[in-house]
Amino acid sequence: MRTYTQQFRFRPYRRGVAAMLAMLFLVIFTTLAVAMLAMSTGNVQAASNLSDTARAQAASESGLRWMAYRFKKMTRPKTTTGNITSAVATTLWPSLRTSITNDFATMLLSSERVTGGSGTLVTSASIMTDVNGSAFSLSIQQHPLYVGDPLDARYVRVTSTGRYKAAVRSVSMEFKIDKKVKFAVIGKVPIQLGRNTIVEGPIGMGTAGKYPPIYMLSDFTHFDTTLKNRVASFNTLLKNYHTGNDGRISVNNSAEYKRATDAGYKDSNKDGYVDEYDLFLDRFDTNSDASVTRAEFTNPSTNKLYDDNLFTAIDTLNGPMFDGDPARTGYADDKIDNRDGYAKVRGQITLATTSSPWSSNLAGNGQTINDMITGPIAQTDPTQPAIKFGADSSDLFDLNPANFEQAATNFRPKTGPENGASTKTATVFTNVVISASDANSAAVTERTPFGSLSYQATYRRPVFKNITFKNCRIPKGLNAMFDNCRFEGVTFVETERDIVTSGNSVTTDPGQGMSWSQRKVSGDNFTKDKVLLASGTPTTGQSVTLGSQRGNNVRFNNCTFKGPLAGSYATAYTHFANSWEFTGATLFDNQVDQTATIVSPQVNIEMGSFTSPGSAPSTLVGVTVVGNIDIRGTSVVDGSIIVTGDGAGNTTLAYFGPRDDQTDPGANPEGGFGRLNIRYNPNRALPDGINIAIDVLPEIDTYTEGS
Amino acid sequence: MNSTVIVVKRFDVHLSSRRTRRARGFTLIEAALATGIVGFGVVSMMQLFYACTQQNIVGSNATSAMLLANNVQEAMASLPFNDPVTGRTTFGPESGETTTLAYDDLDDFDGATFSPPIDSMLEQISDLDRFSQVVSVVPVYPNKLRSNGGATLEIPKTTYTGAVRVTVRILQDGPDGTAGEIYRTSWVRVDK
Repeated sequence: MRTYTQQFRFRPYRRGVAAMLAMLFLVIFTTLAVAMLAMSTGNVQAASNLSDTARAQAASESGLRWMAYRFKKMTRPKTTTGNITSAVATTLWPSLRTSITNDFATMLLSSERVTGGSGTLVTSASIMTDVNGSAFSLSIQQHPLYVGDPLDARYVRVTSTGRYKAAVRSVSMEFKIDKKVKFAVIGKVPIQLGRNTIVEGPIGMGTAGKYPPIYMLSDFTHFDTTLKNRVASFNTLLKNYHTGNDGRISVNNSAEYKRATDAGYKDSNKDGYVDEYDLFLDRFDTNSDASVTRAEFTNPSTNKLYDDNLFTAIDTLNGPMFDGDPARTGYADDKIDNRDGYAKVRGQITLATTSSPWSSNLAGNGQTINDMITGPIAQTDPTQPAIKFGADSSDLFDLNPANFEQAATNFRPKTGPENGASTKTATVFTNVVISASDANSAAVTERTPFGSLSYQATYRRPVFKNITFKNCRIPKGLNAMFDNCRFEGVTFVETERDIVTSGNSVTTDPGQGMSWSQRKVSGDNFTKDKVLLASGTPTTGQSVTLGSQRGNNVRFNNCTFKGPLAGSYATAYTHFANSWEFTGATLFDNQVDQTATIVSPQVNIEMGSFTSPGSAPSTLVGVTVVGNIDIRGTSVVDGSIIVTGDGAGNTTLAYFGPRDDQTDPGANPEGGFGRLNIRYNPNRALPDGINIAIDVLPEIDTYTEGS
Repeated sequence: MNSTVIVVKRFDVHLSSRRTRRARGFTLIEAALATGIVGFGVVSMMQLFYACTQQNIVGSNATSAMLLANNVQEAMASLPFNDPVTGRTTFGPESGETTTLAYDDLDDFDGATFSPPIDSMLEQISDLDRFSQVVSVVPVYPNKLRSNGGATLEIPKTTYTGAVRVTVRILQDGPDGTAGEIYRTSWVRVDK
């Protein structure tokens, strides 16, 4: 019985185990299989999702870049207000909103033209970036977005939402509504940067076909023969083996760097480039501490600095931008080192001309573009070339002189009787319209430009000496000479607005402007030797022309300007007829208006001394708006030089010879080169009245992902 | 109680004699069946393992492909739109730009194939030599970003429009030696 019982118990159990085990294995295998399937399917799905997300992200970033591009290229609203405050931005928004809507309406696909939103919000349709389904849509909204928003109405948030299949990604960036020149020097005629001339900021030349559009001389070849020869050899190396026109070889360019090191050059200051500054260090950094002190830069044979002005020009680079801005370390510390950050030009050079015609123009003389651009150009945006050729109007500043008429005219009521009661003593004129009868010295006859061998005309001038003029106005045709005078407050120089052709039609052509200047009213026919009078009855050898009667050719000698100087707008550049010369120790120390020092959009300016460049170190704050300008001597430009005229030969910054028409790289002024520090200052507001479009510029550091 | 035991015994005896015989044969069949079932399961599992492994490889390749596409995007991110020297004169690498390291603007990458692929510093990644990166850069109208998307270009590459679309295709060598596309992405760059 025990046996049977055991048999009964054992046999069913054994049979069941096999089936159970099989089933168990099946269950386990099936479970594993399902798990694996789920996992592998999940992996593929995850990869697919990630892929879609990456494409949506790419689309969203494309949208943000595209909107920045649209803001730059679209027709943006203009304003004459110089300083864009939150209140001004609020008033500008409806126009900006219309600009955005109009710009989107130019899309080629009708489905992409649609815009929505209301009030401070504009939304776009879905804009495809390819034919595979990637797309973005934009939301553009002016701040403040909520109560307590730290950003005011000057800021606009652009959110780009990218989509690909089911994936959605958003990125945002703030854009700022502003109005700035964005150039240290910009003009319509070729720009020449001489020795001891250092530019901190971008340079622009907006006329194609005028050569050379930029001409730069080295700062290191005029005081030491050893260094001069080494710089010359280095520039030959650049010319033969360097690709680009930035005047420096990157240590990351292995082929060029090897050429440089094989030739004995090295990156002495360890800034990643071999350039002229490294040669300067090699020559004068006698203790190899990557800096040059005054003692090291002293000529042992004369016991004087090789060039005090150059030393100071470099040592004072990158100075404070505004009141209260602390000086950087190493500023004016009597030591030249990396903290000063020397570059001949720090910023991009934007040229309307393309490189090919310029190269062709130079080829006849056996020259290349490298011969025209000497010294390192340090572009601050790594995504942009040091020199941008073929720039269009959106890359430059609108230099139409008419845009500056209101800005100039705004200064007029701040002078003369409109500003207050006119008073006049022997030495102080206040709120006066100056008359030739006020002259206190004998009239003089002199050529213009003064002292130039290539003079354009000869003027009879009333002379004013040792007078202080407060908020005074110089009427058209005065053609005066002011000697040792002081100008306080605003000074306004009048001229004829409408320059006309012989057929009496208003012209903007500088050639017609010259004809107008020379057109006889009475007396002899014009020649450059005939003495030009403003009025009266000319005798033999004298002439009254439209230019001498209605223009204003003025010379200021040894004068001091404590405020801005402005002049009427003329429709055309008139060459000598509207020309102001600042000779001797003329000093600009504008204490009245930090937005502008000179606003005279069609006037030719000759500034600085040939013989005593250090005698009157001037500071030109804010914008300097001129028809053309030549600056010699010692000056600091803390703002922007804007040259609106297209009739002059070139804008000469520093010394290029004893004649104003000279371009002599070997010229040596008897009193030294002086120095010019030209710095674009983005913190300075523009004066009111400049009628140009606002900018809507990305604030790169506000980029965020997610909506 | 006893009679009940007897019945059980008889029953057991009866069963015992039948089951002893059937148990032997049934065990073989059962083993065969079990083996068959398990074998079927194992074979199915192996197929499934293979399929799953393939899927995992696909997923792994897809993420590698994305990485490689991002490398190209990163390598091109800091490049200017136009050549620093010749500007817009040439579309594609300028004269003398024979190596990737010499590429200095966006359109230099047009038509480039990197095999083995490159990282964002333009260094080759030999571990991933079964992949290649194929880059195309085409001008697009800023007012129609999807333009130039077909096989035939409606805008010649020499036309400057101010915008380009960069497309990166990631190819992978197949078992037969031919390369197949496993990923593509594109983005738009505009001239500043």
